[in-house]
Amino acid sequence: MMAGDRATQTPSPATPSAPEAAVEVERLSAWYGATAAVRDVSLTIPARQITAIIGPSGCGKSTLLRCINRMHEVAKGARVEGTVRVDGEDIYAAGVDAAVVRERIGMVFQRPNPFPTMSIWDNVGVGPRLLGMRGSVLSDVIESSLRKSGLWDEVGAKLRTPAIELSGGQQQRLCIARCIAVKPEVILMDEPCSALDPIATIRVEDLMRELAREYMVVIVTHNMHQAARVSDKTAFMLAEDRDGGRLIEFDATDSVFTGPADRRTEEYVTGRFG
Amino acid sequence: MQLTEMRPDFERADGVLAGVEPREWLFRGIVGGAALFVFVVIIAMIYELTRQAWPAIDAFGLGFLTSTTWNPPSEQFGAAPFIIGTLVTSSLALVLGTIIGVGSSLFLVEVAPRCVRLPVSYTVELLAAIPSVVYGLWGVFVLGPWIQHTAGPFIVRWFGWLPWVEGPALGVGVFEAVLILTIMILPTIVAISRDVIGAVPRSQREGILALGATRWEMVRIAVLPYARSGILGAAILGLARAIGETLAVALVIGNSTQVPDSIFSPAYTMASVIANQFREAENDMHVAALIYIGLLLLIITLLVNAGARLLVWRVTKGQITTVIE
Repeated sequence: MMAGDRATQTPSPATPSAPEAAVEVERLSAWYGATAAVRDVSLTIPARQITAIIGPSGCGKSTLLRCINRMHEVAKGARVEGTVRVDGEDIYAAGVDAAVVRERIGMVFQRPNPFPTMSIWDNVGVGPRLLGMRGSVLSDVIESSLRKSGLWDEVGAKLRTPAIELSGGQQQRLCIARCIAVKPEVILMDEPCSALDPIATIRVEDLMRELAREYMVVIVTHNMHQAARVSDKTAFMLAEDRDGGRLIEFDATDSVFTGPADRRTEEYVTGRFG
Repeated sequence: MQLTEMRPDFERADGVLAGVEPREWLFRGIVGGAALFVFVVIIAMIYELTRQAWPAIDAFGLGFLTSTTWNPPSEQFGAAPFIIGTLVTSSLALVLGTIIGVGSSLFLVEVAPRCVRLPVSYTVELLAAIPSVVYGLWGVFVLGPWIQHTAGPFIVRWFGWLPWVEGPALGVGVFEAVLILTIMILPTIVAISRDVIGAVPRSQREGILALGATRWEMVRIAVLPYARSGILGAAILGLARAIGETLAVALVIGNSTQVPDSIFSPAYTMASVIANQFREAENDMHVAALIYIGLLLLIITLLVNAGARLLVWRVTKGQITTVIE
């Protein structure tokens, strides 16, 4: 496990005995029908850090991300091979409930997707309510999630208004609050800023760094500068033939951007293709 | 090249169309006329119905709505049995049809594989093309006897303690009419709600799944609320059909002018009493009373539509909806 390799840069956990959730992906391949999207990817994603997955369009980076919380299988005809272990547990093992996996591994999507029929309050509360939280426990969780996502000061006075009245950036931070309200161990972000303006993007990036103190954050991004700005480790994927995306390089972000080991990584990060 | 060079007609600084091409006028005339036509027809219908119903309106006034006496030979007329029959049968059919319709739409969209979804969808839509007399005859020869001998006694035996559940089942009555109407409005409700449920964006489904929701929780929390105004619209269209349905109901409802006191009692609806009695009306007052019922039916239909619109508007107020309305 590589959980400790940058321990000097990450704040020490509040409870040192708590297990560091690491995600180990082993020989993972994924298909949509007959089309391979991800081919034979193995990597270990460390806890309490931000790991970025970069690569050109169609390289399978979003699919890889969606395999980590079993969201890939929601699509029709989707198929997965290989294993993904979270804290040593194989989430694809027989008898594992995908809903329970997704409780532990939250996800933020490309476009903000608040529930339009619900208020800001209910949007954040819907996840904890699924877990059976009610009353003051619920309202405490909602408040702390909104505080953590930096929204409390902006929306604290209008919690009962419909969530879709917020701006795009606020909606995306609301979706992050909704995600952390179920207290996941891992937060997956699928190009979370691609629908946002630069100011809102910076706010979300700041938030990611905040979250990385407590959670493992995995972000898929189109934007290499974003990966360089926010992430501790970077994975570069590429689909060279029509046989799904493979992992080309996975290393500390600095090394990937300044001294990549693979020629293809270098060509991509220096903007020669993609 | 500027627009003004091509079309000098449009040249005017204040943004108002100064001159409009003849073709433009023709277009406006056609669509405006079409819109006006619908409006004029409704006004003309209300006027003509009121005029011809006048003897009955004059004689019975609003008491016509509450009186339960329907006695053509003595020229005593009251529409309450028919109003009650129409409202009871169509609202029960609406409830049943909406539950079954939304349920099967959810099955088709969320559960069924493609090889099941398409044939079932086509079959359900085919139901809409069957003439109502066929439903009526099926009701008389198949559904009625089945209820009389099998379903009716069973329901009376086990649910007889409920209000308005009393035997014996005759094979014609409110229950048969409700079932026939339910089947008749199902295609409408299924076709529309299947489309609006299918139109709920994937991002909404994935948003709730990502929080650890099961499939049923996803439907309850993300899908149905998002689709609710469309489903409401589907139910309203179904209700409109149920209120107006004449022939199939006339064949199975039992044609009794008494106010029904059980779901197995024979009854009458506004539309079916007009269809059955108009040709054989015994006197002028009878004709006027039937036309008065027609006027009331038109008004009820308009009220139901207005109320439904209000409901859709209130439910969707301040929300993004991508559905039909």
